[in-house]
Amino acid sequence: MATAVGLRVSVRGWLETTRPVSLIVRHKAKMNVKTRKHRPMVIRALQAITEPLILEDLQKPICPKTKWARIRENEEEEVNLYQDFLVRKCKKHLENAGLILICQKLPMGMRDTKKIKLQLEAQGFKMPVISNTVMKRAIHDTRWIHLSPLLLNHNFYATSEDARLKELLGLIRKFPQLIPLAAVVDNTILNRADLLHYATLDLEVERTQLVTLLKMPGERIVQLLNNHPKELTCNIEQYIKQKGDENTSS
Amino acid sequence: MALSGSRAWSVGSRMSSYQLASLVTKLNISPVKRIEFSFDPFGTNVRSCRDALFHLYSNNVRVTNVNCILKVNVKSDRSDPNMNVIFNDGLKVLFKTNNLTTLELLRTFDNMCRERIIETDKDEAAPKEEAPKSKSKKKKR
Repeated sequence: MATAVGLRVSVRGWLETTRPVSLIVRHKAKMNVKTRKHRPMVIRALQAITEPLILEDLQKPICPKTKWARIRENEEEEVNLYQDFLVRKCKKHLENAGLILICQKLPMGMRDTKKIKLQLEAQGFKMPVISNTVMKRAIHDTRWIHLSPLLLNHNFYATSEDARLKELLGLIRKFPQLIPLAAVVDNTILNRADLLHYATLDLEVERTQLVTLLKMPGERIVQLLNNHPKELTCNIEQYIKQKGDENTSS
Repeated sequence: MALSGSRAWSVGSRMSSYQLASLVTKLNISPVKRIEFSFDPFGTNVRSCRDALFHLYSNNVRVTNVNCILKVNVKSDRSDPNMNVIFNDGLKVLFKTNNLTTLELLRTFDNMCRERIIETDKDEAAPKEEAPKSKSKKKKR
């Protein structure tokens, strides 16, 4: 096997195939490329003894390829300004909305999602797209904190300023990929059963019934207070009549 | 509380998500007649049930059996989540998903479906083997 040493290199960096400066020829066996030569025992022992003791934290191997693997538990979390912006937008949306419907979203194509969005917007509803991480941060330390068990899988949100739950459910029933789970109506969280019951109610009838119920105690008190004087006046009038009849007869 | 885009995500959870994705692409629900999901969204440990519902409702899985009925019962009584599967041969299996991960649930479901698919393939192959024997008998005469 021969090795050529001292090949000339041109300005461009290409190796010129000119005559080498010197040539080494080995007529022995092939060059050993695979098996490594071990170092002498003395050197290996000294190396093992003098090896530095590294702390456990620094010893953790981190794969340079995966970016998730670079994060450690004690490191400070980076501030994501875009996520902060999304959280502020979500909070504003939640505060302004009188009705928030949360549904389980099953797989559906872009056409169906677009169809839903158009139908909702035609009726005056909104379809915000909010991820679970943003929603969790938005409802943290607010009155909607109890919605956190719902923020697990793919969710669908529909909002409106008015509490028109009946109309919204009527629209969503046309799409079997959306399963209503809960709703927030007038700052109260409704589960599935309450949600469906609320949708069946006729609000005007309920309001009139409520007003009459609230009026009833006051009317009763007035009636009771006026009852005694009324009876007294009736009795006095009757007594006067009787007296007058007696006088005329005598 | 500031959450960064680069979250701490363990290697184990990423591996399980790869396994789940590969499992979902190979799911075959042809021996299944009906699947009923019942869960309370405000209950605990509902993730696996809702995940399984999501994956089984995908087009890739539903194409394998168009006649399979998928029903969802959303409850409000804090009951435990479960998945009731009825196969074509009449077998009923109730998966109590409270303490199961999505991968475990779908893996056992997939194994049960595969067993039934192998059995149906064997039943279909058995009568085909008997037919050539009768022809050989006729030739001997």
